[in-house]
Amino acid sequence: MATESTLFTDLIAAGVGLVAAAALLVALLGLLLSLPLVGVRAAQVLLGREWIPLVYNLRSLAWRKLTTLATGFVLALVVFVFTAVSMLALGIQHTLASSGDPRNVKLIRSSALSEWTSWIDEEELQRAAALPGLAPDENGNPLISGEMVVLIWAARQGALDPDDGTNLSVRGVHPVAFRVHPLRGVTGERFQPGTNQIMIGKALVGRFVGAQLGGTMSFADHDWQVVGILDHGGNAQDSEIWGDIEVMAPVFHRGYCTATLALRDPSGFDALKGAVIANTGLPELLVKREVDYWKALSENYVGFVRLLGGVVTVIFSFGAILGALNTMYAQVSARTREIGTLRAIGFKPRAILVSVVSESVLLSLAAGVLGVLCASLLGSMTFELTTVQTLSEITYGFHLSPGLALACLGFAGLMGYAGGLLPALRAAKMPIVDAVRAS
Amino acid sequence: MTPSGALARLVLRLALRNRGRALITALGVGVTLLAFLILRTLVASWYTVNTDIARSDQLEMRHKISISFVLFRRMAEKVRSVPGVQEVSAMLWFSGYYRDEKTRFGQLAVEPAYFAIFPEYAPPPEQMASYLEDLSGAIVGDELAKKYGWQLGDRVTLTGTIYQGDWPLTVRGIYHGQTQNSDRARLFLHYKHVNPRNEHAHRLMVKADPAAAKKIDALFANSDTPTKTESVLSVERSWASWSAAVISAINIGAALILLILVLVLGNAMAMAARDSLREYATLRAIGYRSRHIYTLVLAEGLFVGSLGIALGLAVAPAALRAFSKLMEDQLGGTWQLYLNARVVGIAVAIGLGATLLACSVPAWRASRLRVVEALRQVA
Repeated sequence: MATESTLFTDLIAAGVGLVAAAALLVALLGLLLSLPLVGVRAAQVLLGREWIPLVYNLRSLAWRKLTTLATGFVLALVVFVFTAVSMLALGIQHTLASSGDPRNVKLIRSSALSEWTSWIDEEELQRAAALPGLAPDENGNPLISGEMVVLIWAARQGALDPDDGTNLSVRGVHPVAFRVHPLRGVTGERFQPGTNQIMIGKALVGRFVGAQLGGTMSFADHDWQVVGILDHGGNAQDSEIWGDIEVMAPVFHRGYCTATLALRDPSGFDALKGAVIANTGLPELLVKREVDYWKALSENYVGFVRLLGGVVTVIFSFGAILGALNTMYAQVSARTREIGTLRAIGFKPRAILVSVVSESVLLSLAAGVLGVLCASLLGSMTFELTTVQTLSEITYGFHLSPGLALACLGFAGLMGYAGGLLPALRAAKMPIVDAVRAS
Repeated sequence: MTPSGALARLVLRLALRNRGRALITALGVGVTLLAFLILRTLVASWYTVNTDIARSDQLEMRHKISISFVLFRRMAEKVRSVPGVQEVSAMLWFSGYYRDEKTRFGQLAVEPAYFAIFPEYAPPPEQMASYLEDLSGAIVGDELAKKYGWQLGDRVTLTGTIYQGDWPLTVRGIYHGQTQNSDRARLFLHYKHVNPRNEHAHRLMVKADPAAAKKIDALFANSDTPTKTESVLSVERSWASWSAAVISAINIGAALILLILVLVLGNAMAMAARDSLREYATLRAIGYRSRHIYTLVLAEGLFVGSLGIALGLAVAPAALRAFSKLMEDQLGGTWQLYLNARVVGIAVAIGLGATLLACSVPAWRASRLRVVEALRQVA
């Protein structure tokens, strides 16, 4: 029923969209094509030592403080948003990609979408222990950790609504897990086998009811004493709860879900994978590097954040470029007389062009530095997300790398260039006579 | 001519005197408003998919200990005996994919009673009847059907992950959803087809008086499968709250956009007012009051701002469509974003408010102008 009534609006929308897209394309193309041309002019100006001193630009910017500040602030805001979004995406990637040890391999049921929908029986675990290339412990036994993973619901600390909470991963392990999974540190002590003692990841501390050293957490109709805090080094497992599988399995009516195997050498992966495929006793198990398992979990969110961030930044930057455009046009028209004077005493049009463009780029670079600096303050913040694949909440941080900071500054410079180009062209083309005569 | 009529003409003249600047400013306003619209529409779609039609009698039963634990279909018999319960349906997440692993959408295996609990997913009666007759039949949302070009009677083969193998299904019904916000990208298939032995269920969906939830949970409190029964509305809300960090980031982004709008427009209006000092001074000299000058600048800003808002609104439907398409191509799944009257209303109101705010400073400064000095300055 909706098809006919929306046809007309659809056509209009498509038409408007087409025009807008075409205009955008032309603008971008013009910008790209102009870049080498302006670059050549800049080189000529530099080589010919015919540039207008930068002090002139700085003084001009300082002369109209309010306008400069407003424009710079908009540019800084856009750079801030761009940097923050990239830091967020990088943070998710960093958290999940740093989860797992490169020498570790995870066995997971091929029909399972995540650890907690997977299962491995006792017999499969024993066959897996006989796989080639496993690292031995001091007694010569292979390092293989059968683990149970379940989701539990935990109430948030200090929440007004008792229903305010989220799902967390509980990992039931044998003591060998402490050998297989690399730990950066343990505060408190390990759980005593056979008891209701648990250890929690450091990202959980203080955020959920009872989640602190010496506290008691309640789930699955039992009380669990927190005796230790695990530091996995800022990765996804810092959001997990660990306890004795012997105690937990009967409580949850679950057995092993997955197994994590430590290889003697990361390069032994292919041999191991081949052995699992060839071994008819393990037909339904997938072999994944632990690192890859966690990395795959990040794909959805990273994609979403990057895409949304990209679209928003592009739109934002158009706003900022238009603002810079306005400002630089005003600067140029206010300085008509000055430009005429400069031309009259012998500065070439290309020197004017380069001067105006560099003024705009200078302003946006300064704004860019401010934006990146402000965004870097986010580095100490963390945020929590529940991913569709794990359904459990994981804590992430913002992550700023030097490369990212440079890219963001480059982005700022590009915005300044885009905003300064047209006004610079107008300034360069101004006939001397008109310019000097201007009021 | 009345003073206000003369002022109105002057507003137009002044606004269009520097056409380049007016156009650039309007474009700036339009672009930022567009970004605001996209972000708000995204947040709105997050919260309203299904929550606006989820009525209080739609309940969802799950395992109390963990959301990942299964229930059993045989529990449905017991649930039906609770007073206030009208319908019960087992439900499984099929979690398969179509064509390739990236092409996933909501696939639910349900019993016929499901459509009595959620009438918004029911196709027209004659299609429903043919679905009920065909064990490998499927009901799909119109958006999904449109996306993949499915017609009634078409063969659709899903590849199972939890329920492995190929699952050839026949489209027997297409539902349209009750409102624009109901999820029209789901596929329903027969629970009995997926799970012929009628054993486990990921969830039991119940149509009942909300007060029955506690009685249902009491039934299973001391069994191997203790349950937690909640309204579908609160389940959807908690799903949304798990992504609260992303939503608040988007909201912060939307707020920053408004700041950008205010700055770009305010800056432009300040420049325009500076260029018009001579006119203002002349007007003051022939007897116009400072409040007239204030109105003049405000009106000029409002003119340019409204132009920008109109521009943004005009491009918004196409932009949203392109954005939805981009999301679908890059992320898979279904991202159908529609402009909703409420979001548009809010955006226009906020856009006009931001315009007034942006212009108030230049307008105030222009109205405070000292006539003699201004005339002397430009002379």
